[in-house]
Amino acid sequence: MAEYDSWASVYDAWGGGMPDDVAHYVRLAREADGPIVELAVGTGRVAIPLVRETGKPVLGIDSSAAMLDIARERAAGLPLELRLGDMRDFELDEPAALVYVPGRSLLHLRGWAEKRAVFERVSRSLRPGGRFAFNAFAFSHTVAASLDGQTLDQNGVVHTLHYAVGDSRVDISRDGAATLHLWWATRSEWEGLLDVAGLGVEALYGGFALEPFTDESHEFVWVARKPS
Amino acid sequence: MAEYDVWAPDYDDWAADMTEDVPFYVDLAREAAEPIVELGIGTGRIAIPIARATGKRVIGIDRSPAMLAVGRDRAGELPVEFREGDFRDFTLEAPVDLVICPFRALLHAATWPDKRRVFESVAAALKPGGRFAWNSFVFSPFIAARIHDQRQTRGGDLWEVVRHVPADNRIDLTRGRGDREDGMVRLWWVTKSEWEGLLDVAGLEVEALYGWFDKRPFDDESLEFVWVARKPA
Repeated sequence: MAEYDSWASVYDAWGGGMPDDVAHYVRLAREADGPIVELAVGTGRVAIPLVRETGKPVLGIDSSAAMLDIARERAAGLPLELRLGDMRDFELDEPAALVYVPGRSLLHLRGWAEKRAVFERVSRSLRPGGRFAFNAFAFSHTVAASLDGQTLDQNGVVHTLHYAVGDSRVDISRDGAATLHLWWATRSEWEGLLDVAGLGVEALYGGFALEPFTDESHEFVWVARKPS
Repeated sequence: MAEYDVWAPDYDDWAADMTEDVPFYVDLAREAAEPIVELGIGTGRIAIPIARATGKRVIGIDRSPAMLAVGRDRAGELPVEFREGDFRDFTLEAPVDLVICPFRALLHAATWPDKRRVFESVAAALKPGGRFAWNSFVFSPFIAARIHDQRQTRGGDLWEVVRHVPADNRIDLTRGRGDREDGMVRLWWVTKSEWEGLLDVAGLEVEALYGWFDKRPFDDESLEFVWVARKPA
């Protein structure tokens, strides 16, 4: 999608505030006995260290050509295949043992229909017993109330946040770039999406130290599995 | 459920601020054949005006015997039947034209499987072309941040303390009157996208989503979901 192209050059700096998720996805990749796919691979923030540490080939899919250009340059010589595509509508040559979406990228999906399309597409692309892993923030009213309307400087990336509560949406705007949107989702909705896609919950962690998810958690770290 | 029983004596006082939903649901009932089904009928705040205004029979389902007893008493000779039951798992003698669930009662369903069962039960209870209408608040982080953990008074000596548990999209409400604490109930807030998902899995279609009972369009600033869905004809 073109709106992400205009963020490509600052994406890694902007994403610097993400929780440290790489080791978690590396561990899942080590356990995967078959093809590994990252959706919304972007500039390769997770895929490149993951390929380097595991030595396993990975297919990364993203809808932004500009993001993929950066990833391609950095991944030179590594077995990371980068493909321009839409996660709502992708096809694999052979079923995957692991599909993962780090960096809260599923929150860029608009509305139930888009999310359902992705979850069903993932389910179809997994081999029996294959895993689907992703993370997303748990919406916090205190964070929202303190950040709404604020202009933030995150590692030099100046951006403004606006919360549209009726649509459970955050608009992220930056001078000279397209406005990005995030839609926050509840635990119940994630469970619904796994349900309609026929995926079982293997684990829900509250963070990347694999602590249990509790009432005090701030991050959903899901590992789901296609029934064998 | 017992936790709702303790609220029964004061329930109408709690609901005193909410009046604009009554004509909305009465209008839907006028367009439907009887019987009308209300989930979470409570003390009959909506069902009684429907029966009075339309003369149509209303079947109301609720899990709190104490609420139902208050409602039965108030309904007198009106054609309102108060049934004890669980809205996740109700069955009717015959399919109906209209099921309603006013006053955010669906937010008492805790998890996706609970909510899915309600929506599937509703779809099974409707005739082809029949309608399901409900409302719920939009969870506003701005309101939540303002009232979190504050003791608030409403109508005389009634009070409530609201605690928000965002990881579970949950609101814990502790209520009481004067020196007396009446216990806690929980609400689980739902986003627009999840409501769409529940309609989707139940095979219901959206007829309208309003931002309030005056049928203003729902938009980014709306604070209430007022849904009218339809079972395909």
